[in-house]
Amino acid sequence: MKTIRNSKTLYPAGDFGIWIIIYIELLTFGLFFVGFAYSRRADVELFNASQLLLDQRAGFINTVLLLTSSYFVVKAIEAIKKLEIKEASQKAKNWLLGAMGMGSIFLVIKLMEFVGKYQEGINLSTNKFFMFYFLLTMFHFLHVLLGMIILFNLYQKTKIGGYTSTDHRGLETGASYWHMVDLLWIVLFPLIYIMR
Amino acid sequence: MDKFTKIWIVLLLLTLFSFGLGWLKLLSLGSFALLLLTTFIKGQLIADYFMGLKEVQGKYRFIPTIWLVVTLLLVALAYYVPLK
Repeated sequence: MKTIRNSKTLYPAGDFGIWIIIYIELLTFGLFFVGFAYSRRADVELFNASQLLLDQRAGFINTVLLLTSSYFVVKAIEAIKKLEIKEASQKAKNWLLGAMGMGSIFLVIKLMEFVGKYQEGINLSTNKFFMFYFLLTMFHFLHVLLGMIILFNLYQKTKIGGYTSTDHRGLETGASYWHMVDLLWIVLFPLIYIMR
Repeated sequence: MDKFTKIWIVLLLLTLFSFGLGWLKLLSLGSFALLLLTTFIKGQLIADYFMGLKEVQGKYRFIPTIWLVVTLLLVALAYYVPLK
């Protein structure tokens, strides 16, 4: 009887080192998420009342922006994998530019939220809910900022035709980091903005 | 329409659904469970298709799945198991 060979790869795309970082980041944020949920038990009313002061629309728009940005990065990799180098670089460059645009708007909206809260006199020491809110969202904000720097580097290399259908490991490495930033927000958004 | 575009649209629709639950303040136990489920599905779609883990064998693929399940279950327990 013939054995059908498994076509799945042994390791994820990109450098393996980035996956160690990704798994550590997931664990770190996971502990924060669970910490938030268990701290809420001690004062449910305070957490629910504080949550009402957040702008759910901003959280929703930011989720759409990150999802779209991640999708654009996927399309950039797809272009590099499937097209001839000149056309691939041109298309991938544009997709990455779009992804950076989405990331930039995310950062601006988040900054506006932070500034708005400070102007209302709300900060890290206001109460336990806002301590978690600022810690989690600022920590995530820094990850988006780093992701943007990574995307910019990928864009620069793509622009000069630095990735080909057979050599695009660097692009996949950066993309994996960016998707992780998206994955973290996918849990952070409902937890902080919606669940009650 | 290619596979990734379909996934992206599903992700957007699930996000709209989650936002709708919160915006309309429809947060009973049932909708809380739905919110957790949509969060899990979105996370799994990102891991499988955007991160490409669907094409990877074994443990590396399942780490994000286990992370999502454990995190969301612990959150659910924290929200719905009463304090003694």
